[in-house]
This record gives sequence, C-alpha cells and structure tokens, in this order.
Amino acid sequence: MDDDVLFQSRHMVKHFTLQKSITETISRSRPKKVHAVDDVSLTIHRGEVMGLIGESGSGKTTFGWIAAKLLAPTSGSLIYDGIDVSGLSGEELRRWRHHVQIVFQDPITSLNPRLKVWRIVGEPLMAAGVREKAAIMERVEKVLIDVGLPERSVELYPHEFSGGGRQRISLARALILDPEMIVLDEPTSALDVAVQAQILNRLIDLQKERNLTYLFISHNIGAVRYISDTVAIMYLGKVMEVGKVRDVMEKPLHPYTRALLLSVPVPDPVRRKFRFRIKGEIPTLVSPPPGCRFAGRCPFVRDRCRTEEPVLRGFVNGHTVACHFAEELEDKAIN
Amino acid sequence: MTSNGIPLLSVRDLQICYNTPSGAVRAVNHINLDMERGEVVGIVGETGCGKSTLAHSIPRLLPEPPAQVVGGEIRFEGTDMLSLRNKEVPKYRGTGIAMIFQEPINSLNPSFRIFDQVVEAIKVRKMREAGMEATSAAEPHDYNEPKPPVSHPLREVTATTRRNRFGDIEFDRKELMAEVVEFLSMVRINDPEHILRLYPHELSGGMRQRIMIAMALSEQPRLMIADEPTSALDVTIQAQVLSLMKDLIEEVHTSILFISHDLGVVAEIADRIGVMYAGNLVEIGKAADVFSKPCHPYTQSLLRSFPHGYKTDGKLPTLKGAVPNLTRLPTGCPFRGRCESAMDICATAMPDTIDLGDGHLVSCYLNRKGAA
Repeated sequence: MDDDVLFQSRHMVKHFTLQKSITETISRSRPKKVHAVDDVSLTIHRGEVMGLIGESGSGKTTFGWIAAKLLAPTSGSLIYDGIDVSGLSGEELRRWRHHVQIVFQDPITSLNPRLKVWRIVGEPLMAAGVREKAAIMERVEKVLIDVGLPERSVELYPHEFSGGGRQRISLARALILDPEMIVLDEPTSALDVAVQAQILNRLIDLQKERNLTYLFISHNIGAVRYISDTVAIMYLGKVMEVGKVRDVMEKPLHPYTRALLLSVPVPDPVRRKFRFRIKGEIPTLVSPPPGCRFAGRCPFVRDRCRTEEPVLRGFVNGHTVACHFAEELEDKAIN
Repeated sequence: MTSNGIPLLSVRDLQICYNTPSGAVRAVNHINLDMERGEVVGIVGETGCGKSTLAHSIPRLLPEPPAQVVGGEIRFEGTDMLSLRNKEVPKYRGTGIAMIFQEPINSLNPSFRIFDQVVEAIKVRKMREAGMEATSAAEPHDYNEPKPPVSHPLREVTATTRRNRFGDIEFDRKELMAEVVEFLSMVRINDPEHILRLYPHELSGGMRQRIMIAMALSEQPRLMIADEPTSALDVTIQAQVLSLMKDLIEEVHTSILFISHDLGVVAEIADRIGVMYAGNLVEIGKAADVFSKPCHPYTQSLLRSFPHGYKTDGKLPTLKGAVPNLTRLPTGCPFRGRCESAMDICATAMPDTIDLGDGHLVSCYLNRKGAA
C-alpha cells in the first residue's frame, strides 16, 4: 500500500446548536446541541475510493459537507495533500475548491431549473475566472461526453432529463474543473437499479481514467461495496469501523456493521434467512449518552459498553473497530 | 384456500391511461393478475412502470380524471369493482381492501393523536359488523349524508354498540382503547398506552409505518395493498418492518399485494412475483422461479444490474437506452429497443403470454416453443 495520503480529517467535530425554548431561555440553561459528527478521523489515499455508510442521522452527509469545506467544523482539522486547509478563506479557499468538488444527493433540487445545462455545468469555470463563452462551451461539451450525455444537451434545461441524466449533469459540473477528489453524497439513491448500475460504471471509469479520489457517501450497501476500496461505517456521528472493503463486508468486527449488512434484502428468495434483527430505533443525536453509541441496540451489550466509550482499535490489514469486544466477532465470517 | 371457488382478486385485461395535455399516457396495458387468499404477491418495476397505478386502481383510488380506465375488469371476491357506483366503493375499502402507503407522514393526520386515527378504522369495522355488511342493499355509511332512517339496520343495538338519543352509534371507550392497544402491540410497539397519546410528528418513520400497518390490520381486511411500504425507511428499520409483516402474514392470514422497486425487498416477502415494464406485466411466477430462472430479458437484466459484488469482479451489466415514452409507445414489445435479443417479430405485436408451467408466465417471443 502506498502512503500517498491525499485527504485526512483529524478529530473532526460538528455540533449544531438548537434554538433555546422559552423555558430554557428563562432558566438560562445551556442550549442543547446535536452531535452530528463527533471526533471523526478518516484518511483517504490518492486514487482511492472510500465508501462512507450510515443510516439517516449518522452524520455522513454533514461529514461530506465538511470534507468539501461547505460547512465549518466545530473543531478538528482537515489536511489536504499535506497542507492544513482548515483555516483557508477568501481567494485561497476559492483556489482550493478546484481540487475538491461535490455531487449532491438530489439532482432535482441541486440544479437550477431556470438555467440551461451549459450554464449549470460551466458555472464553476466562470467562478474560476473564464470569461469567453466559446471556451466555456468547448469544455462543457467535452465533459458532457465524458459523463455520457450527448453534446446537444448544452441547450436543454434540467427538467428535460431523466433522474439519471440529471445526476450526470451534476457529475459534469463537479468534473469540469478537473478536480483531484470528488465527494459523492448519495449520488445513486434517487435512481432505479438499472440507472444506478450505469452511473456506478461511469463513476468507476472516470475514476480510473483521471485517477480521481472519491468519498462515496451512501446508505446503499450494495453500491458502496461495488465502488469502494475502503469502507467506513458511521453511526450517530461516530465512526464504528474502517477497513478494506472485503474485510468489512465479509468479516465485520463491529456488531452494528454486522446488523447493517444482514439487514440488506438480497434478491434471492432461497437465501431468505433468519434475520439478525436489531431492536429499537436510531436514538436522537441530542445529548447522546456516555459509553458506546450503539449500546442501546446492541445484542451483545455488557455493562462496560454503557459507561466507557470504545476507541478505534487496529486489527490486521488496517482494519479498525470501535468496540470493546470486537475480538469475539473475529474469525466469524458472515453467512 | 379458495372458498367457493371465487378468487380473491382477479384483474383481467386492465388498461388505464392518464389524459394529459401532451396525449394519453398509457400507464397500465392489458394486465392480467390473479390472487388467492393468503397469498403475498410482489410487483416490481422501475419508476413510471405503472405499478402504483395498478395498486391504486384496485380500491378505486385513482383520480378520475386525469386517470381513465379504458378497458378490462377488476373483480374483488367476484364483485366487479369498476362497475360499482361511487357511493358503493367505500364499502369495499378498509375492511375489504386496505392500503399502506409509502410515506406514513403524509398518510397520518398531523393534528390528531395516534389513538384518534387508529380508532377511526376500528369504528368503521365495528359499524360494518353491526349490520352494515349484512344488508348489502342498504346504502353505505357516508359521513356527509343525513342520519340514517329509523328502520335502518344500523339502528339495531348490538352487544358492542349502543346509540344515543340522537341516533348516533356510541362506542364503549374502554373497549375501543383496549382494541387500539391490542393492535398496536400486534405491530410490536412497546408501551402502546403511551404511544397512542402522541401525535404523528413525535414518532420516527419506522414507528409511523407500524401505526399505518396497525390501522390497516385493525379493519381486518381481506386484501392489503402495500405501495412501497419500506422505501422511506432506513435499512435496519426496513428489516424490522419486513420481518414484522412476515410474522403478521402467518398470524392473521391476510393477503398482500406488495409493490416495490427493490428486488431485494420483494424477494424477502413475496410468494409470487410480477415484473412490470412500461405498463406491461412482462413476467410473473413463483418467487423462486422468477429469481432463479428469469425468462424475460428485462427481468434478467434487472437482476444482473443489482450490485452484488466488488469493483474487481468486473463491470455491472447495464441496460442501454431509457424507458420508452408512455405517450408514444412503440408497436410490438415495449422493451425491444433495449433488448439484446430483439428479433424482427418483436416489432410486429406484443408477444402473447406464454405459460412455462407452475404458474410461471412470461410475455416474450424468446420463450415460444421451438425458439432458441
């Protein structure tokens, strides 16, 4: 494994402060905080695809926004290509954005319905200072072909495209500045399975052609398994497990990962199996309890889990897990 | 399980279109579907394939216009649903056919407590038990209509219902409360006494969907239609709701028509699976048959494009092109433009349904006897 680290987050924390209620204002109590991202440290190497899996409320999208510097973290630092970029602002930040781009989840709301495709896709170029329309058009047409859209799409509006087509426009907009890294925030969750397959293939082709680095955020485990080299599992703002995709998918060491993987419905009625069901709902992120965040739903919970928060511990092959009792799940492949 | 030989549901040659300014959108084309009692039938298809239109047409929930049933028939326990007068339709909803929708937050009223919403369904059932259904000649209860006349069968005092001096049915609140609690516990809600005092926004998505299931169950329907019931839920919650539904199928022996875009979800729950494409039911059969030996090229490519493996396992097979425009469907098989094995004959006419045995039906020329 080469040690060409491109992106690193160190102890990233993001708390959102809730508005105080009247009683809280009168009693001068401290405002409640949503712990969206809590002490997340992840490392992505150049040319690597990291999949970030989590259910709703796990903080995966918040982390993606922080990674693309669309959201300022409460604390923690972001190291990009060996340089601390946490404090960037103004012109420096604008130049840094050439390196990291983002594709949003919903291709309907993230594209301006009043603009033609060439304006949407060319906007990053304009922001970067390109003024001549001919130059913009040329690059827009080129990148549209790269994402698999016909050249004549430049004069169309987003509503004239299907869901898959719109997601391609979003992707073209992210690619036009020739970034090194793209944050993909649920790029396929609004798509049908056949269209999803097309987009996933295109993403992998682009990644190989341009040696791109992806942070692929999704709740779709099949898609993440297919596209990623490494995988991180988030739950309630914490990273539970990180490792090579095969290690995590075949030998998960965290009970949550195991439960998550076994919850995925498989299109094979013969394999309808006894489900490893986890009880309960995803708790709220407001003032989380001490100890392991998963303790309330974990089938293997012990007293220690409720008091002491587990830290990420290393196992073989860069596989790290935040569980006191991960050894007990070791050597047990799923299925 | 057929009692007196009448199937629970029989859809024959159903055609539905939406009349829009840009032409008629043919959402459902010549669909035949039969369901027996106690059966779980799954319908899968991509966005816009007409699966929800089909689901909504059975309890007559389609907005007409713009929707229009152009031809065919829907028989629920032998009753021709399409020829019913609008006034008669509600009689079949709820206790006959119950629906569970995709977004429980849109199906629950935000300004009423859970108790009031679940109890409404129970009241309807009780009123029907108290004589509504027995005399089918009587008009169904309509809340907008004046109070029923004195001789109306609803006036009969039964063990569980009484009437006040205005002629309204009075329910025993304690008894209703006990029933609500019973149905909420049936969908594995812990502490139902507390939950029923809450408003929908105070519950999570999984809880709300359980409430919807409890409401559908409380009417003891003979057919439940679930339109993407787990699509808005997280995967661990989806697994909980699915296994709950599986348990309930065993407990209450209801029949479910389960609509989903997710092949995995349908494989989990259905006895039989139908695959829809551009308004046509292209393949239907036992779940094991459809998944292990799919015979329609569309089913095959749908199953192949499901991401099973890793990047190193090679490219995901994809379908070329896009779903055809439903206002201008091509002649012949609607899938031929994207089909790898399209032949000349595919452009001439829609292929007939071919029976491959054991209830496995497929509409594709490739499966004709003697074809390659």
